Amino acid sequence: MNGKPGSLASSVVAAAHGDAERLAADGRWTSEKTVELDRAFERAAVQALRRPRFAERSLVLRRLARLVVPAAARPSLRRALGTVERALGSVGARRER
Amino acid sequence: MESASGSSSSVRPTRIDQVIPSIIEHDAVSNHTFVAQRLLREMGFVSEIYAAIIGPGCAGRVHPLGELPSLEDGSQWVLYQCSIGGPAADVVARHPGRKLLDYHNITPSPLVERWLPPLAEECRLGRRQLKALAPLVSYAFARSAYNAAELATNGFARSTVVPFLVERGNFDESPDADWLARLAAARSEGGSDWLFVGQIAPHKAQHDLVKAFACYRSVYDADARLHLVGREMGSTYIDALRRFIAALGLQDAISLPGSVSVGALVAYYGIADVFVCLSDHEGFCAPIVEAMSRGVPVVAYAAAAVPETVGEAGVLLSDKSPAFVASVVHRLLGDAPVRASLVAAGRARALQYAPEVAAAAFRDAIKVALAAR
Repeated sequence: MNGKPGSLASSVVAAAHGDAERLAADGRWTSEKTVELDRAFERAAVQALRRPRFAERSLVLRRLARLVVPAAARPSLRRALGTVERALGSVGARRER
Repeated sequence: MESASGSSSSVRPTRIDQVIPSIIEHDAVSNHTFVAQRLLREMGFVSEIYAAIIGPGCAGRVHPLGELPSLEDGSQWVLYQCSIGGPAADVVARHPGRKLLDYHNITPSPLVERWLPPLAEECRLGRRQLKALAPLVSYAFARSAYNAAELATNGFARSTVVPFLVERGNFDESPDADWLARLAAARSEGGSDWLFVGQIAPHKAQHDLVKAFACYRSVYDADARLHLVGREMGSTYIDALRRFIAALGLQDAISLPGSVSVGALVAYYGIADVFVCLSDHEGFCAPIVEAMSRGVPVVAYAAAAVPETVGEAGVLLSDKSPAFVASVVHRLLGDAPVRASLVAAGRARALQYAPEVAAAAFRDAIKVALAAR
């Protein structure tokens, strides 16, 4: 979409549009395959979002932690929370199966 | 609150301190801030950096936000590095000194809402704070004309475009030998190398890159590799991305090395055949310029400030459907004259953002701000 008509960039784009259309016409890459990719990512997103991430996803918790937890103790607290979340996540994963 | 044309306007500042919400290693905004500090000191100002969150690797070079001095005699100015909301903006707003603002843009909250609701809230807060700072800031700098237009929309009366500041040393760094050897070994087995550099974050849309790459592997180059370099923003999106990559069976073809050293990054640019950016939002996108300067042709989705950064020196895309993106990359890599021409155009484009050019623009902007006080 950039470049003056006839420029290298615009010629690449124009040729690629034709290539993409041919891929679809030949059945090498159809719109159904794109839809499959979209669905695969959506499934991955839903699984990832299902895992608990208390400290990361809660603004209130994060603000509270900054107020009450000394800076030096934050890394170890973060690790501990991560362990808990991973454990809960693995329970969730078992349930999914 | 002090207005932008406060009573201390006739006093020339002796110090210009910077305030930034958070600062961290290997981050473009943080690096920009460190270079700005060096330039301000070279101009004769006392200049320290104050941050609400000080990340690993920055301790000793940055002070906690609470230690920011508040000189009321007009001798201290504050330069706020604005990229997200947080307490730092409020501290700047209350500060008695004259205020400058350096705008890196703020990610639109809908792009991150699903993945990191607290970050979305900080983005919304950042935009509210930006608007509130407008009448208090005497002069603003923007990374791009796109950002400058947003500043004008938010009520900033005076702003100028100052490109990203980078250290010349970073530009000239040699590739890390170990990384280069490892990447070259994979390359020797055939297949092309796609590269994107940027936070692993939803608005950078690495999932769209994976889709396009999956199509490319399927129809054009079964041995191709994709390198997604950058630290993750939160853990949810990268978790989804890893699951997606695994579901497609592309674990051996797509690498997520995280944040890497400058030498390792140079090694990635050294082996890359193409830099592909499908971000939905960029306030500038410094890696595009890095890729151009390293002779890597750029293919990029035309979102936000990206068309301005790319100019005529790369291929801009109006849509990012996998077959189209894959076909653009295939055309580019298969046509040596086109590729060579874009590489040459990229190198010329990168010179416009060279460290000394950006440094001169920054110094000029400071001088204009001083004259406008």
